[in-house]
Amino acid sequence: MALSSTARLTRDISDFLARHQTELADIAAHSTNVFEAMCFVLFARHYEREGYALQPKNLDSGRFRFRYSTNGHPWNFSYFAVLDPNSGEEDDVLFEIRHNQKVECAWIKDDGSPDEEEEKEEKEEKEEKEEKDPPLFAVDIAVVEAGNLPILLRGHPRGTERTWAESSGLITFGEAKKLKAYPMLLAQFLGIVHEVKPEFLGLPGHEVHSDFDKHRHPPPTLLTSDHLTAGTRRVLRSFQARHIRVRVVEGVLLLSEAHLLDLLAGKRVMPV
Amino acid sequence: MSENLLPYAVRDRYRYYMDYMGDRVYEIALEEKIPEPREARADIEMVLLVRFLNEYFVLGFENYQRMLEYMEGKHVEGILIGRTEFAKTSAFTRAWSQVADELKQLIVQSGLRRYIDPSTSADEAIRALLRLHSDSSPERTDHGTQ
Repeated sequence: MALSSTARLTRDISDFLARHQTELADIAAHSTNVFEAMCFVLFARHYEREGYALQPKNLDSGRFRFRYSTNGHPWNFSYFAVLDPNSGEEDDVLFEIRHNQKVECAWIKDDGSPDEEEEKEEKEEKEEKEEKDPPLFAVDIAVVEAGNLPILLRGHPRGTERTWAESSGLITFGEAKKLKAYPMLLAQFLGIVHEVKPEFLGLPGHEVHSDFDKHRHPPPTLLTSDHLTAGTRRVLRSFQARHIRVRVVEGVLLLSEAHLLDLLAGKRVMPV
Repeated sequence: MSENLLPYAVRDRYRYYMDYMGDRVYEIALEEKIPEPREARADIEMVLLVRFLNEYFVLGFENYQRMLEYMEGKHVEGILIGRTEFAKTSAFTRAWSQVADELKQLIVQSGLRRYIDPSTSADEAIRALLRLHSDSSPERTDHGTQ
């Protein structure tokens, strides 16, 4: 055996795993959700580093409530308000960073027609309302224009309020995956971009908003816990050649925060 | 070492990770023209397991702690994920901190840190271990003296 210490380490690790079985199981059970929260905060840190002021909003007794169910209404969860750095006005919110936010499909619009049968039973009404909702996609980290989502008191029952962000109101988004990125994961991510922000795919007739770069937003970004596979890097190189504007921040658990923020801001080019 | 000792929630991911890395070991051995010795595989598997645990429980904790500190700077006392609260002084955080410290200590004591540290990629660690075994292999020594 070339490594004399391996046998000892095997024994030590086995003992460690057996001794901390309960704690490790608890940490592991929450690790994916915690990872998503870390990626969300990384997005917030990005805007702060770019000079914006950030304010946590809609706290729950001083705690930031993340949203892990797509059934929840946005006014029941916390979010970050991103303020104009030149304004000085506390309520001059430019955009909001929302967690696990539903977004409408960019290709199929809600017809906006009023409910014509108001006398229906509550249940039927709810079913009808759901049927009228456009197809929705939940994105892990959504940067939306201020005012695109209703600001209501926590616990407010849903009436006619929209609970999803409009495609035009979604500025950019991030998807967090506690995985090693492989080409199929990129393909899946690209599918989401196609459905909610097709302008980043360089499609004819779909232009990225002229203010987008001025605000130093990251384009739709996939954040992965581990590094990319070699095949994934080749796919990313191909994306660049096809003018597809998406970004991958790899190694969220492995790299320093400064390095990750550079990747997110596009200030450090990932070797592809 | 039995993977049954791993928390149930990470076993599938560990299996997937080891399948992927197993293929990488085979490919790197071919690239290096190193006939893969059985003993190297045992060492490599151990190192990969510890890398996996380190990422999950040590690096994960460091990032988690940074997130809580950032929130604290914003006067946020903690975060809520469903009904679970995560705060600097919560039982969950204390338990994770203890586990991370202990695992870090085991890695330092093992003398294998250079193969486990994230500044060394998994591919680099595999390559180094394969070379180490190849250099100490009697077959390789015999060939070298012929």
